[in-house]
Amino acid sequence: MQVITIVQTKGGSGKTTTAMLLASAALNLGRRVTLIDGDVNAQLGRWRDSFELATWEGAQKPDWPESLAILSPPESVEGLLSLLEAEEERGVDLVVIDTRPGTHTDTEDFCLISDLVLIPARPVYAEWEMTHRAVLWMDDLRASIAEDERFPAVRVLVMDAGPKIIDAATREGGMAQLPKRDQDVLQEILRLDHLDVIVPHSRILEQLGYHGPLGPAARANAKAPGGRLLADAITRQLEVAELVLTGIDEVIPA
Amino acid sequence: MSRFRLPARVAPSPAAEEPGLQNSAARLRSSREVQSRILAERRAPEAGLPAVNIEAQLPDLPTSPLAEAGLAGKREGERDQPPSPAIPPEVPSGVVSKPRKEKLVVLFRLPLATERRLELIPGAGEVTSAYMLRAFAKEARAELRRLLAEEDVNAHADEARRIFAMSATDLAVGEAMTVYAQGSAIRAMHAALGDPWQIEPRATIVGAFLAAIASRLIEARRVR
Repeated sequence: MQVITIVQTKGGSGKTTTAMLLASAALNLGRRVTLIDGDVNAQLGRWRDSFELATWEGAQKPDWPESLAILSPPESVEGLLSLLEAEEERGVDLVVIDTRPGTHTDTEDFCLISDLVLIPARPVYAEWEMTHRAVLWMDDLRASIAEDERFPAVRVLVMDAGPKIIDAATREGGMAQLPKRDQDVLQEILRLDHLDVIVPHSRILEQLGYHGPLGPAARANAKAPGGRLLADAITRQLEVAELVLTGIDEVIPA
Repeated sequence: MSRFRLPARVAPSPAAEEPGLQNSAARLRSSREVQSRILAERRAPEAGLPAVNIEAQLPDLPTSPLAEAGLAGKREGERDQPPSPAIPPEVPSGVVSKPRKEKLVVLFRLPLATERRLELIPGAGEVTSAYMLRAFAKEARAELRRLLAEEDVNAHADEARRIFAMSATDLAVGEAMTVYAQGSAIRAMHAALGDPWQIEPRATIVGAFLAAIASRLIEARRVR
């Protein structure tokens, strides 16, 4: 069972979205997923409710997948450890823990019991400093535990990037097309340990609460009259999510 | 045994050290240093100076987002008001603020070979080795606090480099201790250990210097 904690000191950086994307990708690959919502906003905890309440026009809303559970975090660390054991025994393949913004000791506990800490980073000037700070926090956390103890891998995931940023990062000479400030931001983020995937900006990301897990949403829309375009957009986002999961599998084998 | 467990801590939790603060001043400053480096790199060709010179000219002042914006201690309504001319500023212009010390929790770990030399110090039989270690650690901590700049740091750089490169098995089991060091000295320590961008944890770098200073003190006192 893989355990991933999503951490960022800044709010609105895409932590919950990343959790939803990872869950969608893993479900599509037939894995059992449990999401733990450690954020005070409980946006992830309400994902199922948002999905059930959404009124889909024209398409038949699919059932919530049985292999996806969303849980609240237990009150104590011991409770969390027992919960993880129980989930492993239940045959869950992936546990994703969403956390609240800021630096908190409960977030550190989530990190320390994980296999991977994922730091979503939007490549914009106003936010990269927070990403850097989150990475430094993880460095300090690593220094606070004994040397022979296991520490999770830490990776940055570039989220919600516009087409110019993607060109800059992936095409020869693309960097020169960016304004100097954006070049600096992108270079600084890519200097950190990162997954080799960039999640592009998409309306689908903003509407994950409405669509629910992406696989069933894409299939339902594909069947609906006039739903092909939306289904394609959801499928493209799902493909990106699967690439992110592949990148994670390389760091912590499933 | 379950694979899920919390690892043993050797230092306080970084988040617990800054209760209530979402963004620690240390991490904020470190981010600012990266920004300063970018600025220095960008300005260097225009000014015709190597980047390192410009970086050295950057002010070594405590950084806080509010202080920087001139908003420290002000309530929302006060922010837009100009300062009253009747009240003189607390600090006259031109006066540079006192250099700022950093508080760090480091692991005091000496090389095993150095620890064995404790027996060669006069009067070693009268106290326990743990007591001697603590005495040297305290003396080294006071010395560390006095280090100000590159030239002070360089005196210990070779030994610190040697300790930094040692594997954990060549070092004694350490004890966590709180130390203070000047910001400028910490930067010089990172540079001396080949980490000018300060990627390595500060506690590790400063810990190597603390051990180097203690080694030197022990070496100076032993009977030859």
